[in-house]
Amino acid sequence: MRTDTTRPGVRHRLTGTVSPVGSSGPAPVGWRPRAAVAAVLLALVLPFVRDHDSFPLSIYPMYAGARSDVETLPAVFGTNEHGEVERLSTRTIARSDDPLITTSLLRQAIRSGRADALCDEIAGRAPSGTVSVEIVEEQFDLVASAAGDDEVLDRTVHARCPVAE
Amino acid sequence: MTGRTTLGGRVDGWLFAAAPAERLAVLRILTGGFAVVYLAVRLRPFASLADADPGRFDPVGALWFLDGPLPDGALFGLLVAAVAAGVAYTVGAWFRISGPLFAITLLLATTYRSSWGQLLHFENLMVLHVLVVGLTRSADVLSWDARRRRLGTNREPAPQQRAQPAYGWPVRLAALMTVVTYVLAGLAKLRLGGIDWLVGDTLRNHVAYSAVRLEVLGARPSPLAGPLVGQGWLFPPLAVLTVVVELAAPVALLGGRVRDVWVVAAWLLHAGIAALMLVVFPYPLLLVAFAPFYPLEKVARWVSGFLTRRQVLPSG
Repeated sequence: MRTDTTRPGVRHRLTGTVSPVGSSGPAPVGWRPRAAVAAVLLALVLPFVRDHDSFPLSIYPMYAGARSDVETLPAVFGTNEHGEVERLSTRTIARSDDPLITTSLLRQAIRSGRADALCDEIAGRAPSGTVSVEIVEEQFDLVASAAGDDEVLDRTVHARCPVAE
Repeated sequence: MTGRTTLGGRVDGWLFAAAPAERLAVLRILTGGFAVVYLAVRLRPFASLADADPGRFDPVGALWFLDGPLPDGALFGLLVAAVAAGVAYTVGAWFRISGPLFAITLLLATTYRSSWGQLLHFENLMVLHVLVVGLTRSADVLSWDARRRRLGTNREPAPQQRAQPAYGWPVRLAALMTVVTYVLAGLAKLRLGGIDWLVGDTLRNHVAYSAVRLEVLGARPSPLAGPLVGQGWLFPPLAVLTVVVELAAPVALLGGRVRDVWVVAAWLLHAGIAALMLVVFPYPLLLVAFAPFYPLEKVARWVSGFLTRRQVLPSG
């Protein structure tokens, strides 16, 4: 049905469509929705063109990078009064259940020289009975470790701190 | 040659074809319901940012201008506003305000969470979809606002609300967003990992890395990871399949069986990641990410028919 554009209509601000008064057919599309769609699509691909990851516009680099079969991972150990050592959890380390966030927190602290401060903070959340906390980096053969081999190829201690009584 | 016979004309015709108001309204309910539950469940990690070390703060995206973390009151206010606006967005109440408000508060809250030295990539598509739906006419029907208008005027919705381009292009734009995110993910693997990502041990090493990372952090990895990483031959075909599925995302726009096959393949991709690496992307796993590919008005009509048969709703 041909829309009579000489008749008054109702323009919708956000969508740019005009609904002619008394019309029951679809309203014609103005320039605003077309411009909005074009701008959004351009914004979505721009990070890829610029090779710049951000949020929420991203290049989605999850698992995209190269990964060697020998890697270094940060971890935190707690030692109790009997000398028993256990790995501390993500909740204790970073108050998060996300290993990505926890690993990132530890790496940031180690790289920026704030491992001692982070150690003290973690010590404040350590499980009851823990007497000291240690932040380390350990190197593993990933495939062997994932298959059950506990061997640590290399180990570096970055911070050690007591747990306050 | 008329506009509709050129490629640009056909794309324009597809993008701006009329669609029923219910299609966009159902997308509002799905995206809003997911996002509100997600925020509620993740409220503690969001709120715990109030105690994070200010030295870690590294603002990104819409918060680039911040020179330090938000005051605690502002953070808690943002989270409360987001949840409240999200509920109103989902039920379509005061949508002229709640739609844009939820879109903006969700964007700010999730951007803030990604502003601590680690970008989190499982919230992007949810935020992008809510931005589109929240800023368009998503509450003209199946909403509290529509109900109030009906009760106030005692008449049916105007005929022009039944099928309009205004209800179609936001859903198709959301579909395009889904497609673009998967294609970009595939291209990222080729750009960053190169051909070795497809034929080498990179994927296997990523799976092994995820397992070892969980173990060193005192957690249990997937029981599948250990046995599978020992079978290195499995991973190059899986890597090729992954990139093919991601780059093939545009076929979902064709509809029909091709769309369904791609959606199943993409879902299996995420299910595999969850099973092998215990990394969960809830938005696609719960299928909300793929909802824009489908005629969602059928969902509304099925539910309405079901409730009518159960005599919850009056017939006719």
